[in-house]
Amino acid sequence: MNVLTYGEIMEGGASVFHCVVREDAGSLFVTFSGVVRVDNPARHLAELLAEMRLLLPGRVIDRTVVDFTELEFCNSNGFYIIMDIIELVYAAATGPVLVRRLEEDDWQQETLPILLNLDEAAVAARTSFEDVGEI
Amino acid sequence: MSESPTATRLGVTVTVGPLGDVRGNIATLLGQSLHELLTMFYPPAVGKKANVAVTELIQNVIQNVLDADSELGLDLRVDQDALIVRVRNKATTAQYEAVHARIDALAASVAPKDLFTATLRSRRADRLKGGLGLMRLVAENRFRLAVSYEQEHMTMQATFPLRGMP
Repeated sequence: MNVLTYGEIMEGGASVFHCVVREDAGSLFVTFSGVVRVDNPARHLAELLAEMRLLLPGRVIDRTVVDFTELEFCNSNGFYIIMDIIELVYAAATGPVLVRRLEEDDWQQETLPILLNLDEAAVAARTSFEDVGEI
Repeated sequence: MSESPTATRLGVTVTVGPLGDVRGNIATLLGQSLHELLTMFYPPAVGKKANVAVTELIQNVIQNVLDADSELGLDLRVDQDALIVRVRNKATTAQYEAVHARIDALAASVAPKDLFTATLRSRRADRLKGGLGLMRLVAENRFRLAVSYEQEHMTMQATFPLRGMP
């Protein structure tokens, strides 16, 4: 598994959020973990977006897995940056995208599909969900 | 011990002032703390809803502080009937009217989720924040919102009915 890039949000001297982009034998894995609670998450993750724009185009990706199951909280200030990351992930390939999300989490069940832009038929056709119960 | 864990009555009131003294992310601190407290007595979903409501409502206050000498009031009540979160802060009538208009628009919408979706997309290019938190509380978390204004202070109330919840 090759880590292509990652981004983090620091708050009060501690790392509270990670987004890691990995590649393995034609599969792209994007994992979100921690909490998005800061006022301006884009400021913390601008470098991640720049690296994704640089590294993802032209790469051979057969399938993509986007994992939100370790993301414990996302405030409304975090919605746009999640959309930005997702958009780059979907633009990087044309293959299927598996979205892993928490089964009993209102934002992952109700708002995440909006951030994924599932209203768009082409996006919906590529997307499947795996609902995961919290331990 | 109560027959049912959801029979527990819980009330928490927090006041903070002056708001100019707030240094850290108080919305996060209160949201997460109350989430943990509620999860001691209620299903995790109730704690999560309280966390979202407290975080979004207090964040709105912190991002729109009118008077650094003013005070923030948070009141959370939960019993077997409902989870109620109230946040009170000093505001102008213009601020109150803007919030009132957003709540009216949400209440009038037959599909708040569609309104939330359209608003999110239309504001994305300019990264506009206003109102997303309130829309989220209704469209995502099924809260009922109300707002009142008295003596230069606005009180936001978010209510989620718990009766019938598993």
